[in-house]
Amino acid sequence: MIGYILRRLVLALPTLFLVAIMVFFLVRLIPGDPAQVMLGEGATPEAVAALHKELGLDQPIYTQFAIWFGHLLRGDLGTSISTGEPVGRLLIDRAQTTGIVVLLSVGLATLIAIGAGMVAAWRRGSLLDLAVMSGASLILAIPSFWLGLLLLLVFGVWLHWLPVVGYIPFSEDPLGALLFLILPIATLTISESGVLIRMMRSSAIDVLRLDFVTHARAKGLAERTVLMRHVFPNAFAPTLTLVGLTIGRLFGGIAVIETVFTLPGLGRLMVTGVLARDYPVVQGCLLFTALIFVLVNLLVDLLYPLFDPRVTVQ
Amino acid sequence: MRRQAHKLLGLGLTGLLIAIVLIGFVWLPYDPLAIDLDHALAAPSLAHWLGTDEFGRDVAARAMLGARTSVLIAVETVTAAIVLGTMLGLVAGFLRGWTERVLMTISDALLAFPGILLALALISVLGSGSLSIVVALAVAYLPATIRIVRGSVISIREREYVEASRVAGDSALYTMWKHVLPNAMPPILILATSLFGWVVLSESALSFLGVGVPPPAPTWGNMLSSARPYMYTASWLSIAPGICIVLTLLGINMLGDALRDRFDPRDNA
Repeated sequence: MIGYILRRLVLALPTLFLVAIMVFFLVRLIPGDPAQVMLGEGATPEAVAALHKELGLDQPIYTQFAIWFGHLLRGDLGTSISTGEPVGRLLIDRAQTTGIVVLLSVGLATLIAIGAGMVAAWRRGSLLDLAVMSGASLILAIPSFWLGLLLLLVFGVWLHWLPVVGYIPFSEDPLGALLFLILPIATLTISESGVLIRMMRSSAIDVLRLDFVTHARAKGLAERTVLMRHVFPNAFAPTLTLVGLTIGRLFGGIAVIETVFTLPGLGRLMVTGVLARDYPVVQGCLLFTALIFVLVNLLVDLLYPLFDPRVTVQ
Repeated sequence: MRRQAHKLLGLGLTGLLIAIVLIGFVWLPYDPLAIDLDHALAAPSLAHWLGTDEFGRDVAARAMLGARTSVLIAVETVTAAIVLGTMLGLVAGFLRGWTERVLMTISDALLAFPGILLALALISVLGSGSLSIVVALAVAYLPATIRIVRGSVISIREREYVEASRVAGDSALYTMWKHVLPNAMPPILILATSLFGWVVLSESALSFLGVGVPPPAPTWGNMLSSARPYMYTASWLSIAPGICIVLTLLGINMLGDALRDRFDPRDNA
């Protein structure tokens, strides 16, 4: 098992290395002097010269990459141009908010998907199925940020139940923080459940056709037992894969939700980085997200054998 | 029956979108950019069906122009991603070997970034504007396109008619063009439809974030973004553009589902 994890991690290294190369060259794609671009128009010639030396811009490009990559391996992602803070610390700070929202939302969305998807598959063709599938299709067509705006409008502006703007860090006041996180989490839960419901339903339908389900029913097992003990474990694997991909995608991709609810998360960090042309921050966000993506997918692969006994970890 | 209704609704909504875009070329209820501060933040009425925004600009006219922008950007992006992705996917799947390994390694590395993040990163380099969005989104959706095209090409290249073409001494290019590509078209067509929806969604998200199409040109996304401060006083500003996006996506998705059913008869129970 440990050998397998190590092997998978080693296999992920070329991908991560390629990601690092891409992130490095991204900034070099910008026309002009990278040091000047990174420091902005108002930079003094001395500052530009100093950054030149630090980045090794007078050296050949592969040496520049080696210097940058060396820093990276030591966990040094540089400092933010606009705030002067180390990018590594910024990322860790911001990842907490994003992490809480993403994990709770995807967790809830998965539970909803299992329930709704299984029931829809079980009563395939019924009105209930039609309702579930129409709901899922509608969710797929609603942009998450607009759903967020609507929820904000209803529960914040019209009903005054929940705060509209602001944020309390989780570490200071968990309950107060939760109050600000209810709407973002609700939004993301609804948004992400659409695809998951469809996936769960379609794999449950495939499993319901199989002989062992007929056999389980013929044994006289209660429908509930058949569904939970026989159908669910065999139908969950594809949804689990999708859950992994979703978590990886959302870690970098909920900038819109964070913007709607003014949450200080990773996506927001990336967007302000892009707008301010704060390239160390942009590079840091990209690297961090790619790393999370690779790790989450590894975790999912490790969980796979639990749900599909044909897959063995070796 | 239900499928039929699905398809008709999809066709209807997509047709409506195209009609609105076309009508917008010859007629708009107001000048979408004309500022009229005397009638700022007016609620929907007979004169202004969807109300006016903080500058007194007609929301209906802006939404119509926004439809044009979204559709144009989506068509350009999808065309670029599909043409390039099909070429690369075809080459990777047909030639296999080293070409495939190199192409797939690069596209797998790109797939490690969420699409919207990759687009944001490219926009940070290219600057904002319509062309940057097209380039950024096309690159962001390229890896997935390559992967899907390659997937279907791999199975097509093993079929007898491809073998026959090869044995007959046709060049690889001729075989790809004449025998592999036409048979790979159905999945590519379905993909193009899904891509269209994703691009409309991503473009509105980017514009909402303020890195997409810059104001004063209206897009559904930047209209929603500028509506944010007026939630208390003018909630209609937050509603109309969102409904436009939802109806567009519903139409496209239903059309995509209908196409999938047509080309994939396996699940016709």
